[in-house]
Amino acid sequence: MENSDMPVMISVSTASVGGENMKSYSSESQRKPHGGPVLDKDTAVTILKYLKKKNLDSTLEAFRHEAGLIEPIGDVDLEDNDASDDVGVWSAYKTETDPLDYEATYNEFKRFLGNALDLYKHELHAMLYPVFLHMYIELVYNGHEAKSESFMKRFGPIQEYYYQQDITKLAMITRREHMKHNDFLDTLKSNQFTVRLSRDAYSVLRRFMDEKRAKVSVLLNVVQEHLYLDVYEGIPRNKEQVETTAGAMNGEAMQQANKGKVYYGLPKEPDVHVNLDEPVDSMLASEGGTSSAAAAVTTGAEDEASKPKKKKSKKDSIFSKKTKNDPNAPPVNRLPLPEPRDVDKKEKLRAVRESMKRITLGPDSMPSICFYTFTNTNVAKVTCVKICEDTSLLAVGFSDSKLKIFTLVPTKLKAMKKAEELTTIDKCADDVYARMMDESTAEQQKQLVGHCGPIYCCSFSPDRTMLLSCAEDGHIRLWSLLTWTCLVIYRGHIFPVWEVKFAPHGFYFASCGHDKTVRLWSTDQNQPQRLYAGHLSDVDCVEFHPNSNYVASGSSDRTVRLWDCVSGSCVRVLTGHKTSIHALAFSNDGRYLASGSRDGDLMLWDLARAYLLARLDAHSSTVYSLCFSRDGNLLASGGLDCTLKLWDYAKLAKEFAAESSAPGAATPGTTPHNPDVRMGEEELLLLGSYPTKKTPIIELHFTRRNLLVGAGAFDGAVVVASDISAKK
Amino acid sequence: MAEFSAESIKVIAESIGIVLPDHAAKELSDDVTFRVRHIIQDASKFMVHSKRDKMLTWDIDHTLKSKNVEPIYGFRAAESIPFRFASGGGRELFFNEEKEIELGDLVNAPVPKVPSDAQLKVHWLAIDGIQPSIPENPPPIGKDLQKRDSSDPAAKIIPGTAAHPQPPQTGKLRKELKTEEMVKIKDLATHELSVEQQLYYKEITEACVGADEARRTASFSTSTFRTKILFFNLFFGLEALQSLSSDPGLHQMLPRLCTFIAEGVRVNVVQKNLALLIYLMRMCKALLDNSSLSLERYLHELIPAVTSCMVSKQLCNRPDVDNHWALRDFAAKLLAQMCRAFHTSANQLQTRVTRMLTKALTSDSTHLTGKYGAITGIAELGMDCIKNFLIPLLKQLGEKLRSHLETGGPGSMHPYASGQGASSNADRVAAVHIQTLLVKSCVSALKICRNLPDVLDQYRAEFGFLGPALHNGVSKARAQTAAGKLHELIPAVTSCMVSKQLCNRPDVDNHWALRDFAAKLLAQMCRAFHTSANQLQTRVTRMLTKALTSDSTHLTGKYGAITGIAELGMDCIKNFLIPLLKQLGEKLRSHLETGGPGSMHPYASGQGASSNADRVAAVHIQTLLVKSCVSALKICRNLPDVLDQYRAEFGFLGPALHNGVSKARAQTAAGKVQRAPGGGF
Repeated sequence: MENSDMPVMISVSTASVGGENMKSYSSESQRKPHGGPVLDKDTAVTILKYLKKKNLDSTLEAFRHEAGLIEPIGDVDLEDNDASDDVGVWSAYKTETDPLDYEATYNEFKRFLGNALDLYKHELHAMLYPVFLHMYIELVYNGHEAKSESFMKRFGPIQEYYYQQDITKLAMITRREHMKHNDFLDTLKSNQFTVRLSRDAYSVLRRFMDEKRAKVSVLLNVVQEHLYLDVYEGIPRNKEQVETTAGAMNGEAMQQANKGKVYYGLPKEPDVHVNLDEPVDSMLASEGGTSSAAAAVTTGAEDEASKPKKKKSKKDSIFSKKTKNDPNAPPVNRLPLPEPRDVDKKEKLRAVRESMKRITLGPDSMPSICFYTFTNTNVAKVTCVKICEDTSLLAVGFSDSKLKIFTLVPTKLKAMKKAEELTTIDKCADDVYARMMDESTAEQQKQLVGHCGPIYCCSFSPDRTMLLSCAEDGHIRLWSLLTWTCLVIYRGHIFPVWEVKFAPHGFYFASCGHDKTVRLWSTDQNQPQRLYAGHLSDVDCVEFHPNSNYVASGSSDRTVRLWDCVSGSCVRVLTGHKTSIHALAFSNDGRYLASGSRDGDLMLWDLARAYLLARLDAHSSTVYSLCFSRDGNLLASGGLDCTLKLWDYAKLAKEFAAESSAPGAATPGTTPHNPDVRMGEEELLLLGSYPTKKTPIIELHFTRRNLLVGAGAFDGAVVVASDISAKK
Repeated sequence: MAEFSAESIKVIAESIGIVLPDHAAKELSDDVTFRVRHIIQDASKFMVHSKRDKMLTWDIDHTLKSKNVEPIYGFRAAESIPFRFASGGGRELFFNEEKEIELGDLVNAPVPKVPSDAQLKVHWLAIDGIQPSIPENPPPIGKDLQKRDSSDPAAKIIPGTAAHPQPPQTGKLRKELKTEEMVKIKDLATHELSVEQQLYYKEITEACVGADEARRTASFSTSTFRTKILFFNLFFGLEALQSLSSDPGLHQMLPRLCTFIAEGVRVNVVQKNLALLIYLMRMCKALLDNSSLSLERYLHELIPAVTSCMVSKQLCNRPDVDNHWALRDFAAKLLAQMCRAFHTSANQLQTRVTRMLTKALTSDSTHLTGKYGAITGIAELGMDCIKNFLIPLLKQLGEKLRSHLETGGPGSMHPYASGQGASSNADRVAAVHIQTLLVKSCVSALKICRNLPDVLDQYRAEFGFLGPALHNGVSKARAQTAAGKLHELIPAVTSCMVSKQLCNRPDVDNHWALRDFAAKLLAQMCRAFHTSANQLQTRVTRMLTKALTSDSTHLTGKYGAITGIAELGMDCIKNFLIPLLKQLGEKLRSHLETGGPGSMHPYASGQGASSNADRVAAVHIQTLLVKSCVSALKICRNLPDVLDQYRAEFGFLGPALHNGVSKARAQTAAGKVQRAPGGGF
């Protein structure tokens, strides 16, 4: 194909870009904890090093002179590369303290927490882990190997279960040499751990530290250097309240991080009204021959008269939100979007017509589930599956870099004719679109080759003419589903890209990856429009808000963040997950967000108030797919435990709505703590659980008529949870 | 956490020729442990994003790549590489087996088949919220759960253990109840079947045992849509029995089907309806084969039914014509399968079955047909059962068989026998069947537990009437198994006989003893396995003679050939050895008198050494020839032994032979005199 010579070039560019970018990140991150003068020196040294390396001696002299650096110091720094690195990055950890002090101090601190009043105890308990963390790093940094080991052995296991994963990573680091270029440690030291305390709890802590200043100097140092105590006015929280929001790699979200307003509503769709009138039928009739919705048209002429009225009433129920101007919706032109084309309008019309036939789901009318299973995937494993919005196409990515598109409807996949043939087509013909296609290329499935690594995600454009894919090679590719070729390669991510998603309105798309960033792109530019940095670890999933104005991302640092596409800022940081997050879904009204994590937990968040509303212990393994039904009544979840589950979201939503309208429910950030989270209600909310035969569920999709479609690859090797429990 | 020990590092270093001091190994092991852990941590991210829960080599490759390290090429494997485990000397070792691959084979091998492409299949995971029981879906209640239910009925009450999917219809009801009062109550088992299930039951039972022969195997169709989905196999028109053995959703009907089988057997044993009994047993087998069912709870119904089909006195209306033996055999197989599948230390199933069968076998009142059933039952249970329960009874059984086979039946001993004439005929048939069965099943056990040689009289003494038949069977079986291996053994043994050199110091080590032993072995093989078909002895003799006459054979080889022929007996010596004596004598002479011809032996490296070893060999050959030929000569030559005749006939060896023969004759004569002092003289 056209990319036969690509791989080499790609890997080279990745490497070089990677190196530079990483450097700039780390130098940036170094800046944060230190004050002005230190920064200046660091920068100067970096520049000096660079000049020296490139042998730009005269410039070097000039720079030195201008910067007023004393020669010897500069030289020492330049010669002893590693030492200078250490000094810059780790100076905060350098202490002369006796290593024996650490255990004693930590014990003292623990005792203090144990004896604290129950009222404050739980809030203060949140400090145990960060103090442990930084004390351990200090011990290792100062070369007390034996001490650090015994410290880890003694206090590691008593930390909360959700930190154990990080502690495992931490325990790997036993020597000072290991600390260099360690991504995980870089992250820890360059970000302060946030602990939220009530004013009272804070003063208790202050008193303790003042009293035993001499004894706990180590502790004092750690708290000052590495902890951010986010103090709020109000009553201290109880154990459950603390625990619900705990778990993130870097502590809880700061209060002010979630203060901003989020336009979570859906703006009025301008073109819906126009289409619903008379021309509807004629347009559809002309389209009927080719469309998969052909059956819809055959309802017959006798219905014709009654149709418009019926539509009107139905439409009102469906689009009631949009006809009233939602006060929470962003202004229509907040995010610039290309003008909708005729095709888009037609598509919207089809969607509306289809949606009229849909069943309203609920506990009494459960959906049927159609499941697509891939077999023979032992050689090339299936790594991702996506079903397009109208359920006519299915894309699947394999570990051997191939991408395949299957058609799920009788219409076959065709390629567009060649340019010279296209010129001969009568452009005024009614079926000009059909004529453009080359009948000889009709196939049930087509293959797209170009990536050079497992394909981790793909996404159809809303008009189904394009497909995005991202892979281990760090590239995002845009494919045309008309010519079946690659249109653009978006280079930018320097490490594997985990997910890519088209915006619901098209044109924009978001991606996230191993490089801890989320990027917002538009299809017409090969540079990202926005680059969201803030996650402390891999960003594992990304999802667009239904109004295209926001992007949500879930990460291995166990936080969910919401980013504003327009301003480029992070408007929500949601903590509470205890493991990395692998699935996200916005509710249809755009106010709530569902997220699924690696331990099988499902969480529902209120974006308006930045609250965790419910936590469902849903699955026994990673949740890979979440989907709300089209009427917003059900939530479907599926994952690695080979089980598909249906949840009664309508019931939850009703309770949420009642709560938020109740007096006292307020704007974001005014109440310091999360209201009570629903937990342990799995039995009440679970409507159905459907196990498959060793097929992990990696894609779920509700059709426009509310039929649930799932997909996954059969894997004989997967051990189903029930087997494990049986063995036990 | 696992780590690389310093020893491992040392071993790895040694494998590439570096010797590491201790502290360096320690330092390295620490570092390697850290790096490997680090890489594996990152690789788990690649694993999760590939939607797997098993790490593959690819994940490691990708991690290395992302760290700007060249991946290790050539270690890709789609499936996990099996680790072998070995322990010994107090050490435990895990390693993966690396086979040497012959490149030539690899190149010349036909190109492997292209792996089939991924396929997309679609099925209904749920229809209106209810999961249909089709092969694509897992069985509604897993086998392990059925088992757990049967072993621990209280499990459901304990919260948490009842983590299985409720059938949606009842589940909803239960949920509503729960909101009212949070009391955990064990679900009452729903005993009513849905309409579809009733229909299925009717169809299946009618098809299996109904009068309509065609339906049993032909497809049958049902009308309602739901039935079609629930019972996929019916929909696709498969056999009724196949439906029973493969449909996943039968557990609700299982109690009814089991009762059906039990009742059916009860009725049909009385009515002696062989055909129906066979079909009932096949139904039972089908249920047993169904991987989604656990029959444990219904064994109390099934085992009596199956046993009835084995040991009943009469299973058909015309016992002398119908083949009810096949049914008994089939039932016995079924019983054995059940015992294997469901025997636990708690239920002692196999023990109880064996006890029951042995009782039937020893009891006087059991009819011969019943005894047949008991025997085949025990025989199916395996070698141990045969050894412990059947073989001790062989003599007793044999006597009973003798009475039937030889005298025409004791008649009066069988209270159930209705008429003397008919009974004796049927009994005779039964006795013949039992005899065949006993011989067939006991032979393999006897072969293993009895040592060679098989003496007919011993057998007769031990097993009475059955002795000869068993002896015959066992020896045949032995011959068969051993004969199969001969093509490997004989060349090995022969090599030990005729190889030029078998030890490092041929002039000191006693390799002659090995040659003699191998010759004895070969002779024993020839005696044991020679048949007119394989012509074993002939072939061996021909081979040895050829070695003996060939000029290129070394003296030690000739020794082997001679001892081989000698061991094969007088006839061989007479026919193959004695004619060669003169020729051999000349060769020996040349070695013994002139110190070896030297030039005749191309392999001899140095004149002096060779002649010494050769001289030793020649002496050995001479002694051997004299020893082995003397007895043959003594018999085939008449008196008197004239020295010149011997010399003329046997050349160099003549005097020695003459001496030997005369001595032997004198000895035998003296012996005769001693033994019969008052006899001839």
